[in-house]
Formats: sequence, structure tokens, C-alpha cells
Amino acid sequence: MSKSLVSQIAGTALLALMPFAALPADAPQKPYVVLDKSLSQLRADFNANVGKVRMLYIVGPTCGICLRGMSDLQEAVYSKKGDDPRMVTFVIHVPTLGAHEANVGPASRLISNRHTTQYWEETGITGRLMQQVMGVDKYVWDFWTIYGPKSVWSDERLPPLPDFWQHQLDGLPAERKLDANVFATKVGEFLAQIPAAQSAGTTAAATLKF
Amino acid sequence: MQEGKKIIASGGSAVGLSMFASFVGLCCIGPWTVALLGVSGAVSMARWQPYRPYILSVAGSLLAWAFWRTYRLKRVCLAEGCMGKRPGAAMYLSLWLSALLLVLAVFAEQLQWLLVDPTPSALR
Repeated sequence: MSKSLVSQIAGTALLALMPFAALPADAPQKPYVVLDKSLSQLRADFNANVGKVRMLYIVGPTCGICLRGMSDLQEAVYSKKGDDPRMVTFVIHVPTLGAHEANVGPASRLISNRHTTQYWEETGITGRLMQQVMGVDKYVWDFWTIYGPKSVWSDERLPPLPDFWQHQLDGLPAERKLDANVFATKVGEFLAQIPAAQSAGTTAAATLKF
Repeated sequence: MQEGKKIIASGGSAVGLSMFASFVGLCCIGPWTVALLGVSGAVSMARWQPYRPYILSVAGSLLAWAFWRTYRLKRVCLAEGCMGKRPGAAMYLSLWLSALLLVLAVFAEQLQWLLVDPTPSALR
């Protein structure tokens, strides 16, 4: 058997085995947490961080305006305070405008730090629950909230009323439109309520940080 | 440059700007911006949003100029006879189509929410 024939057979065998080369265990870990309809994981993470300033964002991963909002907040808030252990961020991606789970990974890179957890919530119920909390007549998304250190998610379903919120929707107050600089100032005000030394506590999803 | 060419250039610029403004205004119809331009492209596109009124104003001015020149040329031709060509039907048609496009561009944001319901399908 000639050398070239042996190398051809070996090459063909390697090509045939390629699909098996990437075992599930080798697959990269998702950079986000998949929530179920009960939002129990989000609720647990929220309450595990009582005593910190918590930001909760409801966004569509394919909505350009939402993505711009994330980018603006990365610039105004996280590039300066992203490592501050007194603040924790939950970004919930919902399936608005036909978004799919595959869209979450690329979008989640816009806000990336150790204290931010990204979630994919497949039904979009998060926005409906927030709609009930806010008492508005339209589905709530592209919505940016801050919860102070004392806020607790005590209801089984509904999240607590945000201490501060902004949005990028039509039909909600124009003076509440997302302004990353105003938002950053508010975050600073809430952070001032917490002594700088306080940094205890980790979230259940802390292992899934970037 | 001949009068006709100036008018075409002005009208063409207005069409281009109107299309760009529509593109920016329609950024949220489905996942097309992310699919076409990626996340950073979609963010860049969304950053043009505050400038839409200015883009539309420039497009409107260019189109108004094109209209004025076209109808002025027609009047001159009627009164004094034309040295060059009179503006033809195609010129008028393209101008009015440009005007229609501009109007659509102005209302692109409102139109997109008539066409698309952002609510997740499971909750409709």
C-alpha cells in the first residue's frame, strides 16, 4: 500500500470522526441563564442580593434601540462602576420582535462584568408581570429599573415595584425615557446608601458570569 | 450642470436620505437589523435615531428645491419657450414618488408599530 493511499484513508477516517470530536462536555458554557415561567431563579438571585443595589432590565435581544440602551449603560455605568460589588445587574432577554434564544449570546456581550447575569426567558412573561406591577396597558419591555438595597421580591409571581425606572417605549412618560447619564447618577445615589466595605453575598447564578 | 440634472441630483439625494431615515426608523421591525448588521451594526443604526428629524428636514428641503425648480422650469418654458428640454412626465412622476417616500419616512416609526406587535407570541 502506497504512502499516499494510507494518508488518504487516514484523512478520510479523521474527517468522518470530526462530528464526534466536540463532545457536549466540551461545548462552551452558555453566557446566560435560561429562566422558566415561574421566574424562580431570578427571584432567588434577586433576594440573594438584598442589601445591594440591583438593576433589572427587560430587553429584546434583536431590538436595536434596546441594544443601544445596553451599550449606553455599559458606557455610563459599568465601565466606571462595573466592578463595584455593591451592585448587581439582571438582564432579562424576552422574545419580542421574533427574537430567539440564539440572539441572546451576541446581545449579552454588550453588558459584561462579574456582577451581571444575563437571562433568557422564553415566554416573555417577565414583561407581562412588570406590566401588572407598573399598572400600564401595554406589554413592558425595553425597560430599565433600579431597586434599592432594601427591596425584597416577596410575592410569589410579581416582582417588586422598582425604586427608579426608565424606558424606551411609546406611550409611557417622555420624562422617563432612558438617559444613561441620569440612570448612572441614580445608581450612584443608591450606592451611596450602602457602605463601600459591604460586599458579602453571591448569587446562585454567579458562576455564569463572564 | 444642466437644470434637469440639478433637479435629478437634488431629488435623488432626497430619495436617498428618505430611505436612510426610513431604515433608521424601521430598526425595530423584526430581527432584521441584527441579522443583517450584527449587534454592533444594530447599535450603530439605533444611534442615528435622534438625528432622524434633521435627516428628514434636509431631505424635505432638497425635495422642495427640486419641486420648485421643476415647476419653475415648466412656467419659464410656457412663457418664454424652452431653450432646453421641458421637464417630462417621468420627472414629475419621480418627484411625486419621492415626496410619497418622504412622507412614509416621516411616519416610519408609527407605521412599524401598526405592522408589528412586539408582544411575545405566547402572550398575544
